[in-house]
Amino acid sequence: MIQKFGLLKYEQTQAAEKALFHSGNLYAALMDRQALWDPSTIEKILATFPKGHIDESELFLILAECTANAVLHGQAEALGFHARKRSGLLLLSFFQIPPMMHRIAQILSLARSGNIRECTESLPGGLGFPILLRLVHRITISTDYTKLQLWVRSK
Amino acid sequence: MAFKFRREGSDLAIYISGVLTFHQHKEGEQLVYQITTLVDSGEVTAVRMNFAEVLRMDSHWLGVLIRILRRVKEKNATFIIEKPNKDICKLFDIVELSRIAEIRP
Repeated sequence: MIQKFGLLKYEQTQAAEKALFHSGNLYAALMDRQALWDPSTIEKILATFPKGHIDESELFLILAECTANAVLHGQAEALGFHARKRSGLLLLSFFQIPPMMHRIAQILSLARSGNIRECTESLPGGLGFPILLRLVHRITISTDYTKLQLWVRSK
Repeated sequence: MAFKFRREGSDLAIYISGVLTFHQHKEGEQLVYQITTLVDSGEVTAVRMNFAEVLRMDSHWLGVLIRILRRVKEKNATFIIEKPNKDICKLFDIVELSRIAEIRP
């Protein structure tokens, strides 16, 4: 079951359902662009997300940073989000339509290699990834650039 | 989100409330502009931002705070963040904000 926010096109829904569906899903959501710009969307996800898997404050930051990446830097028309347990970790996956720009891999790499102080001062790609990298175990990007995956050590 | 300004002697106190995310980017620009204008007048020696009523914050607003901090320091004024909650303190700890700004519990 995917929680839907906004008016989604048929093709977007189909693509997201294919990408997000998994029998082990703890939670899944799909948002259109307008919903991504609506601050209440994140609050609604926080209210619905199953409790006990991740601190709410960390989930808030992950949702806010990944939504900001998608709408401000990725020109996302729709964004899917799902959570499931995998290999003892909590996998939070963001599926973007259209795919992310390839530049995101460079920005992530820069955030991985640099320390946070350098990022604070020169803001290469902002503070989003440096913060996310401190919160989660690992961040990966799918080879087709449609998915940003955050691997979180479960509570 | 909302913010209000209060002059307390030569201090400028700003009371912010609500959830601060990229969704409120226009308000962030407005806040930077308003504080800069007041600090540039030379009458303000300290800018105190009261976070007691801020529930959550993301990295966009960290950027806003850093921009304000730079403007305030350029004018040799003091920048203080007051009463952030534990979630916001955690975010400040991640970016080591206390190295460049005074944070009062």
